[in-house]
Formats: sequence, structure tokens, C-alpha cells
Amino acid sequence: MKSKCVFAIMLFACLSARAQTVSDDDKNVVISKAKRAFKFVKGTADHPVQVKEETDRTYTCNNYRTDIPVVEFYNDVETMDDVNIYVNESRKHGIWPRYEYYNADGVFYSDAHVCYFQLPLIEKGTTSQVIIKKTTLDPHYFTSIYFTDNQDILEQEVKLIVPSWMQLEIKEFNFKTFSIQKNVSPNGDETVYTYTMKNIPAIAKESSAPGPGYFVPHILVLCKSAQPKDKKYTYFNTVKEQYDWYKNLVAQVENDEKFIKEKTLEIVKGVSVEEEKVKTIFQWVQDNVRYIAFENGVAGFKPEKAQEVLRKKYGDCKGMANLLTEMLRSINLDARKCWIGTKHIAYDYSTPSLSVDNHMICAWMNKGKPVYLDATEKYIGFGEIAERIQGRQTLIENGNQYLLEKVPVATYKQNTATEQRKFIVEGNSLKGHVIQVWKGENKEWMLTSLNDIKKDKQENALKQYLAKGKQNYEITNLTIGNLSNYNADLKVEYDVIWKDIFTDFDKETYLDADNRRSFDNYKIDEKKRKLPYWFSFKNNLVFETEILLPAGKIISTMPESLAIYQPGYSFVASYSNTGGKLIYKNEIILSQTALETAGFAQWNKDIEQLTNFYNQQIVLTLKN
Amino acid sequence: MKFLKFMIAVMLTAATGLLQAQSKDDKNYRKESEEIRQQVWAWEKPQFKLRTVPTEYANSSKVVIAHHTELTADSKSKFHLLITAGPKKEQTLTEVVREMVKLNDKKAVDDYSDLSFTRFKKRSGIFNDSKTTIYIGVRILKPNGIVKEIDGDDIVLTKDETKEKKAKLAIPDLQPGDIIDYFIATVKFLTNDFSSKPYNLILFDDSPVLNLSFHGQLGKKFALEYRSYNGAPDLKVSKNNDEDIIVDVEKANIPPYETSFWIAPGLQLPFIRMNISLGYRGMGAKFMGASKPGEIAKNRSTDEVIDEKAGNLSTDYYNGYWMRGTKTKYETIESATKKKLKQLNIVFKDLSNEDKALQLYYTLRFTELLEFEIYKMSEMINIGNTSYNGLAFPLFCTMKAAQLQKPALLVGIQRGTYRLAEIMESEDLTTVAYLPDINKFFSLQTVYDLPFVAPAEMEGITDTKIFTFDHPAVVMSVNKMKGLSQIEDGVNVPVSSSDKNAHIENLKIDLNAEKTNLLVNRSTTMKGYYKADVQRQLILYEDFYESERKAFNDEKSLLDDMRGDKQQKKYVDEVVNAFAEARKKQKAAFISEAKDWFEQDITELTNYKTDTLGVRHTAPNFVYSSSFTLGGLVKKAGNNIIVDIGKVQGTPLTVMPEQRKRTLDVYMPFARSIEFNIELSIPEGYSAEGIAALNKLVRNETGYFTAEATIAGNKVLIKVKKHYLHNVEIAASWDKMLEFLDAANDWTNAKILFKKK
Repeated sequence: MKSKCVFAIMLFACLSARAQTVSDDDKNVVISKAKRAFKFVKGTADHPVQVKEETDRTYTCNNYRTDIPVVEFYNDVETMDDVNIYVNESRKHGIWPRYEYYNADGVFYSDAHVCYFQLPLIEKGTTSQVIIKKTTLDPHYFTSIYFTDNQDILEQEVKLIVPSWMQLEIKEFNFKTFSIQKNVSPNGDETVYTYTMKNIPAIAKESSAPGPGYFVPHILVLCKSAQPKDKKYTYFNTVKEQYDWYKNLVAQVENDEKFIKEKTLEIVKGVSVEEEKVKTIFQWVQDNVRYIAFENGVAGFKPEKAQEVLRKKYGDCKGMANLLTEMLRSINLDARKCWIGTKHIAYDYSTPSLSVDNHMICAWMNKGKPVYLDATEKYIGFGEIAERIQGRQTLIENGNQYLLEKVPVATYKQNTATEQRKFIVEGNSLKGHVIQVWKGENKEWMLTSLNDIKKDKQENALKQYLAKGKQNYEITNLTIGNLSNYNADLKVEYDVIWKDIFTDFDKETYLDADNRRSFDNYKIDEKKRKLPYWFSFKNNLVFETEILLPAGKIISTMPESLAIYQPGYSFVASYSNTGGKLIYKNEIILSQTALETAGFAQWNKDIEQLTNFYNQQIVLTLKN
Repeated sequence: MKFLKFMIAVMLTAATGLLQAQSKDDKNYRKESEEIRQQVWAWEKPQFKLRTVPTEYANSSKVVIAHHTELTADSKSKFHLLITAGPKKEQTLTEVVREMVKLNDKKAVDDYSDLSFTRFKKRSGIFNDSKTTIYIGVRILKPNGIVKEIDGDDIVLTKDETKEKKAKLAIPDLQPGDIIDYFIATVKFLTNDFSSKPYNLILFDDSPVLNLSFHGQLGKKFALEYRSYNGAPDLKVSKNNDEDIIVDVEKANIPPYETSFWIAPGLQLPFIRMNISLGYRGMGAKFMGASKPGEIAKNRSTDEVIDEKAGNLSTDYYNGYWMRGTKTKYETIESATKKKLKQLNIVFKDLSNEDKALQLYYTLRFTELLEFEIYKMSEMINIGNTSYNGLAFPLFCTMKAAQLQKPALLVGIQRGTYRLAEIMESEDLTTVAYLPDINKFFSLQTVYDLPFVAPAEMEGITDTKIFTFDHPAVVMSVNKMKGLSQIEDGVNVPVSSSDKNAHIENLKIDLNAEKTNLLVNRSTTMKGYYKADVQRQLILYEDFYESERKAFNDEKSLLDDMRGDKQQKKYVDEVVNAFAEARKKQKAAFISEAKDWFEQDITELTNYKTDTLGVRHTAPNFVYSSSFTLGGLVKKAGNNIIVDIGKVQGTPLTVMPEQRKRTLDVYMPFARSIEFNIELSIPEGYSAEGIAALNKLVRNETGYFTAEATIAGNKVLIKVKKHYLHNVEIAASWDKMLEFLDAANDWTNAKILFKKK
């Protein structure tokens, strides 16, 4: 099943694991015909309403024989009922599908399974056909039908067959750029929704792209209720029902309040201010509970008991959210569990469905206002919010009711990284002191990287990183301020001798004062790229250098300032000569993370200007 | 420790198993797990009682407090009725590896936070049934003295098939400061398996190890062979009253090993090798090379191993050449060679031994490796991905079938593996086809290889042996089989010089119109052992085939050949399409190669081609060319322009501060050189300055870095050379190597100023 914390990975993996295995010859094999049918049927006592799926794909070899991987995912609430394979219309092909657990990166364990095999296309012009039959055992988990595949689809028909005892709503997404016809017709006591389409391109696989829900044509199937016989089953008519379902699962979790309270009191001993208590507990969970995505069956949506997470010192997002909430509650703080869909997901709770959320966090209600605490963000500070949940709608528990709030959007200033250098000139080198500070997600990134290095290698590794691997940037007296308090900035300070930085030609001396060159040549291939580019987080890079000019030398040429301001970003850089000092300032702001395709050309132009600016040297000559 | 992960990897590839009902399986498994845990935790070993580590290791990410292996092997015989009835021998190998590690940081905690293993794996053939089952036990020792044992029920299955079960265990409540005490026990049932099981004890790790020990007890029917390498302690081997073989070794206080590069672990780092097998005295024992039950062999003599090698090669010769019908395929190659030479108006029998060998080599390569078959089209188009083992035996047999003068196999060790005096088994030796009278080598590791060239890993080896083979009238016994081979002292394999393995860049460079980037016309020559990797990337199978076809004067191209064949002509379209697709991808391959080499932005690539494929000894260099725009090297300085010409090298090897002191000899793949011949046009209206400062010379007996720059007309001419003169240097020469390596690194800062006139 598409369980919490894993769904996003799964769906993307489902589409991209297919996509990963597509060869570059994306026109050699096409799906010439695809027929998919999804039918709601009466099931068993355990699973009274089921969805039967039959997908029939015919692959055609256009140019030359090859074989392609075929991959189909399923899990504990889905069964793989049958796989029929025809190669050039024959069943005599010796192919045996394999059925295994699917190990996704970052997921310790889940109930995700994969059926896979290599499908040969034995000759140009021949076809191979795969018919897969699956059953979804619970309509809660039947949430969407995507219309793309790893190959171009020439012709496709998708049918949804809904008996009169089944109530649902269909929402269509990303149909605009594709020619998809819809037909709704009765068939006895069933309603048949038929979507026909031609020439659907293979799913685009690009890094730093939005989740597939934003661009792939698909439908959300919002199951409301069903009454196959006498009993009525209610799914998610409204957000309230979705909330009730979650609440019911959470209510089944037997948290040991006494045990949790004992530990919590130990952690906050000596702390009296409420907010400080919250900070202390939050950081304790970040530090002491490892994130391990461990999903199985209905536990995919049911949090682990708080005392179990505490005992094991590991958990997934639900377990960690539950623990954090229970710990705060145990000392009479108003804490709530919150369900949320990360940015990767294109929907919100206006379409109640299990596909709209994939994560759980905690909120501390501080005088009625939620302060969001996501313990899976290992090194984020109290009050800081990761990009992936900013602006997202969140479902907050509120007894029998619920609250629907939006997580605040932080500005780029949350993630500011500054570097300040002060140098004097010594011979051909610069000698000085540097202070670097990282906040927000920049800090989180740095701390993650640092903690991933063995502690006896950390200092060397950090020096290498700060020097960008250059031997002539010699760092000494490195101090790392604050590795352990995530509510404060990460700071490093060091002395540096930057050797042979000046280049003398005849009477002139040249200096390139910026070895960071942030976003240097960071162009996007606008000819190739089809999808928007999403940066990981908003950013603010502030770089300042002050060089005390040697007596006897003056600056004869300085690069012209750069000032580029666009709605989503700005690049501002300048040199100035003041009181015998060369001052260099460079500030890059990414105020938005999404760069639309229409903005690629401008972005590339601006990056070119930035690169050209970096390529300007300072020229010093002797004073007369 | 890494050793453990190595062992787990070994176990994961072990072949075993019997079918069992799942639920009973699970119950039994948990019961057995519990029993083993109780046994292991009850060990009375003082090293596992230690809880503190020396202060000198307080800053280490982790410290291995104790690492112990218990290996027991026993056997029992069962008589099974099979198709060919014969006794089955069951072996039980039980190995328990227990390790106790102090975790000092988050990284160490992460590394140990989950264990993956194969619970059991099965393989079954007619004669060999096998099953391996793995058990684990984990305890956490907290700083306050509390010991927490991990519940076996926390194991989750990630693969659950009857033939294989894989499992994972997330270790709960693990934090910096804790000690993790865990073991992995492997119980392996092997039936009818007399093969030798290699078992290595590695005595180095990147973490400090306070105590490492091994105890083995092998039943009296087992045999043991062993050797210690590079200062590793000797095994203490004895027999108990039951004639079991008892093996012990212990080493305390192993300091952390700082990983470095250009090392040869087999020659430089301490480890112990063992081969454990079930002894066998029955029929064919000698033939199988089986050890006797109870046999203990320490430091087996080199002569014995060479003898074993002779036996193996003789068997190969007997079965693969001497037996009726087996020679046919080599005679076919000879016929094909003669036919191809006829197309060139050359008569095979009139050729010298050397030329005959050449032609046979090329024909074998063309007809056996490059031959096109529609059903393996994808494999052929991607032939660059295929590696061969040198094909020593087929090459030898081909030359023998063609009755060349005394073809032979040259046998020796691979450079950097083991010393010849320290080999233990015939697989430690490597073989290459050889013609003694002309002292030439023949090897095929890739389709691009050339005749006469010894593999890089054999260069410089001494103490080789030459094996030749004779036809006896009849072979009746193992000894007679061995007598098929004659062994003589071999030759020292020559070592190629640095100029023979070269990467030479010829670059004609101009500034673009905006004077922001460089326009480069590039021609690259790759020589010797440097070629293969780039040949794999850039040469199209279609071009290679055509080139060879023309060299043989075959009348028709591959496609024309197919068009003229009734069966094949229907496939022509497919082949044309597949070749076209491969050709389309070649541009991306050129861009990727250029980006990797120059480490800069490469755009607007045109005129890319492979000029000479480097697949014939008459034209051995691989030459390719292209034109493109190279970013990242041009800076503006007022009205002037600075070209960071030093960056055209990319990033030369940088030696980290902690790697500058070296006590181990330096083993490199081969002597080699990198050269740049640059013609940089001075833009009109500018003069070039800083030329003299580009000159550099650092030369010593290990290698050199030189740069020479001059102005000729409107061009700056620069020649840069970096040569590693040898494939091995002693540790004492490391400082000398650093001299020219540092010089090359410094030269990345080299700049030229174009000054506006």
C-alpha cells in the first residue's frame, strides 16, 4: 500500500523505476495499444469492496530488436493476480516474472513488492504483449490512474467501471496539453467512464523536477462510499471522514503515557520556560531517534507506539510525530499530530484521498497558533521550516474536529549563508581571517554532511570543502562553533593563507578575489529540458571580502557592478575601493524555488552575465 | 569492521539450500537462533569483557575492541542412490564471527544501525546439495553498564522465497558512546563438495582493532593449507586427541590503517590465507588434486603450485585440444586466416613465424569476437563493454594448430598480487600466449588489444615459466596427463616506457568572438595501455568491423553481405537502424569524454570522429578529434584578457597532506605520460605576456613535469609533459614523485595575459 512517508518515494519510484530503465532509444519501442480497465466489484467478508484491474499493453518494435524491462509494483493491499506475456503472439518464450520486495533508497523496509522481467521485442515490426491483472483490496488505497508509461503510447483507452452501489468522484489533472476524450455511458447498473487518447509521450525523467502529479495526465479517483449489499462503507466523502479514519487509526495506538512522561521530565529537567522545553524535546528527538522508514500493512498509516519509538530509538515520520506529540502532551503542552502532503504532491485536502498526504509532523499550539515541528528534519531549528512543507495544507488533530491550516512560507532569509573575509596582502598571497555562518536549510545541509564524516576525519574534510580542494588555500586554526544546538547558527572561523593569488604581468597585477563563484555557469539546457526546475530550497548567499591594499599599489580596473533582479531571484555583486581597501560584495537570492520553463531563457542569460562578472579580474598597478 | 562486511558479502554469494515448509522453518529458525545466541554470549573470552578504549583512540569514529572468529568443520558420509551411484559426503561448516565495537560518533552509529544478511540460500544440482543458514545476535552495552539484547523478532524479511530468504535488522537504541556486541553465525551444509574453500583473515582496518583472534577446529577428514603474508603472525596449528586440526591466531593492538592509493595489498598489508577442504582418497583423488584427510600444508612450495598449474593446463590441453574433434575450431581459424590472406595475395606458409602469429591473431579477433550475428546484435554494438580473460589458451591452440614454431604459454604472477614465493594455488598464477623464439606475447582482454603486447599486469614480472605441450600416443593416468606439459624457465616480461603509454592532446585554440571562451580544435592520441577505456567509449562497432573488413580485403561490407544473403537480408533494416542509433549516441559520448577530461563546460561540439582506431600493430595509436567551445578558462582584466591555460589539464592528481608521508612502495598500473601540445592564437590587436613564467622543469629519476612556452608569430606554443617513468617506485622515492606531482598541480595556476595594444 501507499504508506505514509513512502508514498511519494513509491509513486515517483513507480514511474521513475520504469523511466530509469528506458533506453535512450525512446522511439524504438512504443506502446502501440494500451487498454486499461478498472472495475469495482463486490468482494469478500474481509474486503467487501475491491477494484479489479486489467491492463493490456502491446509493445511494438519500430526500428530494431531489443528487450525492455517491465516493472509492476504492488503491496499488501494489492494482489498480482495474473501476468500473461506474449512475444510475437506466442506464449512460448521462457520468461518467468520475478516477484520481490522493492528496496527503495531511504526506505528501510516497506511492504512494496515488484514484479519484473525483461520483455523481448524479437524483430523490427513485431509486437510483444503483456496483460497484467491486479486487485486492490480496499478502495481507500485506490486513489489515482496515471495515463503515461515509460514508452510513448500511440493509442490508449482507460475505462473505469462503477456500479450503482459505488459513489465516487473523478478529478482530472493535466489534461490540457493532451488530447484526451472522455465518454460517460451507462451499462446496465454500471456507469462506464472511458478515456481515449492518442500519442501520449513517455514520462519525462528529469532531476530537480516537480512530482508527477503536476504534469502527468491522470485522474484522481475519490471514493466516497459503497453499499455492495446491506452494509454501507464510507470512505472519504469529505476531509472530515478522512480525518476520522486517521483519528481512528491513531486512537488504536496504545501510548504509555507514564513511560513517556518519565523520560520527558528527565530531558527537560531544569528547564522552566515553556518554549525552551519544546525546543529541548524537539532537539532531543532529532538527535536520538533515527529516521528509518519501516512500513508494513496498515501500519503504513498507523503510527508506532510512542514508547516503542522511544525504546528502539528509531522510527518513521509517523512514529516520530507521535512520540514528539506524546512527549509534549505528557508535560501538559498542547501538541497535535498533523498530516501533510509535501511539495512533491500536487493536491491538497480539497480532494480528500490517501494520495494527498505522505508525511506526518507535530504542531505545538502556542497560544492557539501552531508551531510546526518536523523531527525527520535532522538539524533544523525550532521555528525553521523545510521547503518541502512550506505553504502546504496540513490536517491538524483537534479532538473530534480537525483544523485545516497552512504551514507558513519562510523567506529566503531563513536559509542565509554568509561568508566574510578580511585579508591583508603578503607578498603574492592574501592572509587573513574568515567567518562563515549557515542558517536554516543551508545549516541543515552542512550539519548532515559533517555528521556523515568520521569524527577524526571531520576537520580535514571540512578544510578540503572550504578550500574547494585547492592546495593553495591553506586553512589553520579552524574552529567550528556550534555543532550541537540546531536553534543557533552553524559558524566556522579560520585563518587562511591564500597563496599565489596575485598574478603579475609586467607592471600590472591581477587578482581574482572570488573562488566561490556561486551559481557559476549554472545554465539549464532549455533545448532538452521539458519540466520546470525546482531548487531544493530558497537561498541567500552573502559573500563579502575586504582586502587591505598594499601600500604602493592602486586599483586601476575594477569590474563593473552587476545587478540583476528577477521576480524569483537576484544576483547583485560589486567591487568598491574605499579607504585603501578593496571591498567585494556578492549576494545571491533565490526567493522562489520554482523556475518555470518559460523562464529558462532569461535565467540562462542572467547566469551568463553572472559568469562574465566572475570572469572579470581586478587590476592593480603601482602608485606613481 | 570492514572484514565483517566482507564476510557477509562472501556469505551472500555462497550457494546452498533445501526446500522447507515456511512456518515450521520460521519456528525452527527462531529456536536455533536462540540456542546459538545463548552459546555465543556465554563465551569466556577476556577480550570481550573489555569496556574501555585507550585514550589515543578517543577521537576515532569507532574502535574494534574485539573481533573473534570460530570456525568448525566436520563431515559425515551418506550413501545416496543416484543416476551414477556414489557416496555423498556432507560437510558442516559453522562459522561464528563476533565483534565488539565502541561507537564514538554518528557516522559509526549509522554504519551499524542496520544489518542485512541472507537468512538462507539454496543451490542444488545433481551432485551438490547445499544449504546455508545465517543467524545473528546483537547486544548494546550502554555507558552506564546496562546491557540490552536485541529481540530476534525485530528481524524483517526483505526477500521471502523458498530458495532464498534475505533479512534486515534495525538496531534499536544505538547511540554514540555505546558498544555494539554482535555476531553472525553461518551454518553451511555442503554435500559432495571436495573443492577447496578459501578463507582469509584480514589484519588491517581503517579503525583501530584492540584484539583480533581466530580459532578453528576442523574434523579429521578435513585438510588445511595456509600461509601468512606481509608480517601477519603465524597460525598455531596442532591436532587434538581426536585428530581434529586445531588452528589459532591472535593479534592485539592493530593500529588504524590509513588508506592510500597505488598500493598492492597482497604484497604490503598483513593477512592470512587458508584453504580448507574435505580430504579425499578415493578414485580420481590425484586427478582432482584433492588433499588427503588430515593433511596440513604450511607455506606450500612454489614448485608444488607450478606443478599443479602444469596439471591444470595439461588437462585443458588434453580436453580442449588433444581430444579428437576439439582441435577443429582452431583449424577453422587457420583456414579462415589463409583465406583472408589469399584476398591480400599473400600465402600463409611463406610468412615468418611472427607474421603468421599476427595474422592468426587478427583473424581470431575478427571471426570469433567481432563476428556479427543478428540474435546478438545488442551485444555486438556494445562490444566495448565486454572484457575477456586474455584468451591465452585459445590463442595458444590456434598457433599450435597452425604449426607455428613452438607456441607456448608463459606463466607468472600478476604484478602487485602475491610474490611468486608466496603463491598458494594455481589460480594465483596468470597465463599469456607466447612465442619464445621471437619473444612476443599475445593477449585479448578487449577487442581493441594488439598482438605482441603483454598485459599491463604482467609487465616487469620475473621468474616466469614457459609451458609447452606435446602429443603423447595414449594417456592412461594422471601422471601421463601431467607429462603432456614441459616446463622451462621463462623470461622477464619487459616493461614499457612512459612514452609508450601516453595521452597526448594536440590543441589548436582561439578565443571566440566575444573573447569569453575558447574555441578548440582537438586531436587526441592515445597510446598503449591508456587506450582501452577511451576506445570502449568512442569507437563504434560498425566502424571497427568495417575497418577490419577492409584490412582483410573482404569484398563486401557487413550490410552488403547481409543484403546478398537470402536468410539475412530481411534483417538489414534493423541493423541499419541500430547502427544509426549507436552513431547518434556517439556525439554524446564525445561530449562526455571531453567534459570528464577537461572538467569544464563543453558546448557546440562538431567534427567529431575517430581518425585511427588503434587496433592494428601497424597503426597502434588511437587518434580521435573534435571541435568545441571550452568554458571556464577565460577572464577579463580591464581591456586585457587572461587565459587560465593551466586549467587545460583539468585537475591533476592532488596528494592530500595526510598522504604525503609514505612507508609503502608505490605500485602503479603502468609507466605513462600525459602531454599537451597547445597552439594558442593571439587575438588580433593583442600581445601575449607571461610566457616566460609558464616554463617549468622538475625532473628526477621517478618522473618529470615540464612546460615550455614560446611565441611563434601570432601563436603561443606550449608543450606540457608529465611522465611517470616506472610502474613501481620504492617508498623512499615518494618525495621525489611529490616534486613533479606538485609541480603539475602548481601549473594549474599558469596564466597568459593577452594585452590590448
